[in-house]
Amino acid sequence: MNMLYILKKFSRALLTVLLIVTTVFVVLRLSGDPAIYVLGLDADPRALDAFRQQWGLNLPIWQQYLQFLGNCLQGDFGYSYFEERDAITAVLERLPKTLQLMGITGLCTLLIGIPAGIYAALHRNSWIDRLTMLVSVAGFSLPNFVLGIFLILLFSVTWQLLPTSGSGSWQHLVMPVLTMTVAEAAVFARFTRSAMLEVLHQPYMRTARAKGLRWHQAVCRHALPNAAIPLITVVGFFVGTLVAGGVVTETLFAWPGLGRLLVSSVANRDLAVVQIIVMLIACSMVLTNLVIDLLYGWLDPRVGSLRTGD
Amino acid sequence: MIPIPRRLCTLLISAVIGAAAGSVMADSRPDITVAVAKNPSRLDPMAENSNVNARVMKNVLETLIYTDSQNNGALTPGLAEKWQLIDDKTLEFSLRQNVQCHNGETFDAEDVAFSLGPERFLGEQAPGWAIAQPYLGGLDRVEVVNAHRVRIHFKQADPLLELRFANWMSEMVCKDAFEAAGSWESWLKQPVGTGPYRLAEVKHGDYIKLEAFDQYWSDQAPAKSVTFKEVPEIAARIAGLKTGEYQIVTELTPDQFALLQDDPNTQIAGGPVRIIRVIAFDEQHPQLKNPKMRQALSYAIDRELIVDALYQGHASVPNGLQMKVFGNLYVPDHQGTPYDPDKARQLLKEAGYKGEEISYRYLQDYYTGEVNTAQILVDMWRQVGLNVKLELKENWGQIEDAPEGRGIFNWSNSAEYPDPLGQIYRLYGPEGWFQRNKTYQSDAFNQWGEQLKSTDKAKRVEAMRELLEIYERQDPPGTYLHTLPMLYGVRANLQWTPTDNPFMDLGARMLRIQG
Repeated sequence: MNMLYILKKFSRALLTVLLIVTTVFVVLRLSGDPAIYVLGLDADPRALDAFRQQWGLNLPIWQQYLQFLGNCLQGDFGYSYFEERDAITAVLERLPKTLQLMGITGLCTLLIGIPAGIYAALHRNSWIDRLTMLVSVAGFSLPNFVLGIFLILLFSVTWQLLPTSGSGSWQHLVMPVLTMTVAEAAVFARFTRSAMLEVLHQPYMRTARAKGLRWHQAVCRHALPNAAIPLITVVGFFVGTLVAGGVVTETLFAWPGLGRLLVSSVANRDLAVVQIIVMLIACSMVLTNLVIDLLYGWLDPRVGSLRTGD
Repeated sequence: MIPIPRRLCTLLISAVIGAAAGSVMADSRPDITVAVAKNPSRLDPMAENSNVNARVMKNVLETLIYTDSQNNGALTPGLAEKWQLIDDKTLEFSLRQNVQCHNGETFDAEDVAFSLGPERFLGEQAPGWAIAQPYLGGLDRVEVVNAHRVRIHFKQADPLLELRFANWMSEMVCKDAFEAAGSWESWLKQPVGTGPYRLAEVKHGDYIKLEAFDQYWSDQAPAKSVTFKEVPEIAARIAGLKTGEYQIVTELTPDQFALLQDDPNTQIAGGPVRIIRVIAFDEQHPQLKNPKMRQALSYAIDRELIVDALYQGHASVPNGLQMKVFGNLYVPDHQGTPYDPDKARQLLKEAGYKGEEISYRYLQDYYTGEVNTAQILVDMWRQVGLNVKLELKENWGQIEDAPEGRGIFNWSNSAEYPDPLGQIYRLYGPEGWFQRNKTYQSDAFNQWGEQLKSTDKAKRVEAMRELLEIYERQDPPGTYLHTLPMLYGVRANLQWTPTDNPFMDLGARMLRIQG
C-alpha cells in the first residue's frame, strides 16, 4: 500500500460526496418551493416573491448551486427557513441523539451478531446452528416498524415495563436499540457464519492443527483474522443501513435525532438542513468505505499492490 | 418584646396560611403531556400561520376578544373587557386593568399598539406582515387613548372588524419582552404573552413545555404544566395514551376508535371544526371549461356514503359551502347538491364528454382518509362514465405546479372567520389562491362577493345566497364533501371540550382534571 493508492481512494471519496450533494441539491430545488411551505399558499404573492428574492430562490439553478458551493467552502452551510436559525446549529443539536442510538446499536450488533455467527459456524448443523440461522432470517425479514410496534405493545402496553416513546433515560433506549439491533445482528450472524465456514475448510487450518495447535488456538490465530476480511465489507454497508433504519426507528419511537429531522426537512423543503444532513451521511459512509479500503490493503497486502498496479 | 397589633397578627397568619394553601394547590395540579404529530417551528403566529402553531400558542398568547365555541362562536371579553364600534372603520377597546404579562410587566394599551405596530406587523418591512397581511392588512393605525383604552382604525369599512380581533393573527404580545429579546429570531424562540400558560422550554423536534402562569387574570390553569410532545407515529401515540404516559393524543383517525373505545381509561373527543373538505376544479382544464362537467362531477358524489364509511358519525355533510357558525349569514333553505348519478350522466351527455382523461392530484393522507376518499371518488365518477386518473403528489408545490396537466385536486376550505368573508370569498374571490392562479374566474362571483363586504346585513345575506348558488350550480370552482373533524384520544380522568378550531384550549374554561 503506498501514497498513490491512498490519494486515489481519497479523491474518489471526495467526488462521491460532491455527486451526492449535487444530486440532492438539484432534485430538492426542482421539486418544491420553500416559500410556499414557510408562508403558506394563501400568502400575498408579493410576500412570496420577496421571500424567494431574500434567499436567492429566484436565481437560475446553476447560479444557486455555485453560490451554495462557494458558501460551503467558506464554512457557511446556510440558514434553516423553518427554525429561523443557522442550519448547522439545528443539525448539531440533534446529532448527539442519533450518535447515541447508532453507537449503542452498532456495539450491540457487533457483540451479538459476530459471536453468534462464529458459534454457529463452529457447531455447524447442530440445533444451535439451526436456531441461530432461523432467528437471523426472521430478524432480517421483519421490517423495523412492525417489530417496533410489536415491542411497544409487549413491553409498554402489556407489561408496562418501558416507556412507549421519547428519549431521556436508558429505558427509552431499550426498544429503539432492540428494534435496530435485531435486523443488523441477523445480517452479521449470517455473514460471520459463512465467512468462518469458508475459512475453516482451508488447507492452512489443517496445517495449523498438524503443527500441533489446539483447535481454539487455530481458530483464534488463523480462522478469525481471515474471516474478518469479508466481514469488513459488511461493516461498510452497516453504516448505510443504520442510517436508513434510524429514520424509521426514530420516527416510530419519537427519538429526536437526525433521521426525523431529515424527514421533516425534506417534506418542508428546508433545503440547507437537508443538505447538511445528506453531506454528513455521505461523508460518514464514504469515510467508512475509505477506511475499509485502506484496512483491506493493510489486512491483505495483495489488495494494495494489485490496485496500484505494482 | 415589641407588641404586634392583633389585626396585623391576624393578617400575617392569614397571609402565611393563604400562601401555603396556594402553594399546596399549585403543587397538587398534575403535569400533562399531549402527544402531537408535529410541533410548530416558529412560535409567534405571525411567523408561522399553521394549525400546529395555534394548537400550542393560543394557550400562551391571547386575543382581545374571545370566541366561545361552546356558545356557537359568541364573542365574549378576552383581554378587552368591552369594545364598541365607533364607526364602520374604527373599533375601540377598553382593556382589563389586572392583566400581567408572563415577564411580570402590566399589559396595557402600549402592548396592543406594539403587537400591531411596525416592529411586529404594520408595513411591508415588518417581520410579521407577509403572513398576517391577509388577516389584518386593512389596518391603518392604532391609537392609544390612555393606558387601558385603544382605538384601532382601518382604511376601509369592514364587517369583520370585531371578528378580526378574536381570531387568527390577533394574538397580543408584550412589548418589553419583545424589545428585551433583541431580534425577531430570538423573539421567535420565546414569545411572551398573557395566557394561562407561559413558555417554559422548547426543544425543536422533541417537545414544547408550557407551565401554569399563576398571575393569570382569570381562573388558574388546571394543569401545573403542559408538554406538547412530538410523537409522529399514531400507533406510538395511542400506546402512550393507553399506558398513561400521555393524557391527550391528537390527529386520531376513525380506524383507531376501536382501540380506545374498549379501554375504560380512554375516551374519544373532538368533532367537526370550521373546515370543509372540498374538491377543487381547474376550469382551464380542457374538459372542465364547461360548467356542466363540473356540475356532473358534483352530482356523482355520494357524500353521505363517504362520511358513513370513513368517519363513523364524526363528520357530516354541510348544506353547501357554509357553516351554522356564520349566524345570520347562514342560509338554512339553501339546496345542497344531492347524489344524483342520472343527472350527472345527463350533464355529461349535454357537455359532449367522450371519456377523455381528467387528472386528479392528491397527497398521501395530508387530510384524514385522503387516499381512501380519493379512491372512492374515482370509483363514483367512473360509475357515471367519467375517466378520472389519480396522480399522487409529494407536496403542495407539486399540486400547484405545471397547471396544464391539472384537472381536479384536493383542498380544504377553512372558515378563518365565522363569516363567509373568511371562507367562500376569501378563498374563491380575487384575493384567493384560485383566482390568483387563474384556476377560476367569475365576474358574477366577484360582484356578489364585493357586496358581501358591505356592512348592511340584508345586502350581505342576499350576496351570500347568490355566492352559494354560483359555487354550487352556476359556475362551480369546486364542490364540498364533508366537514373535517379533529379527533383526540383523551384519558378518562380529563374532562376536556375541544374547540371548533385547531386551538387546544387547555385553560380552566375547557379543561377539568380529576384525580
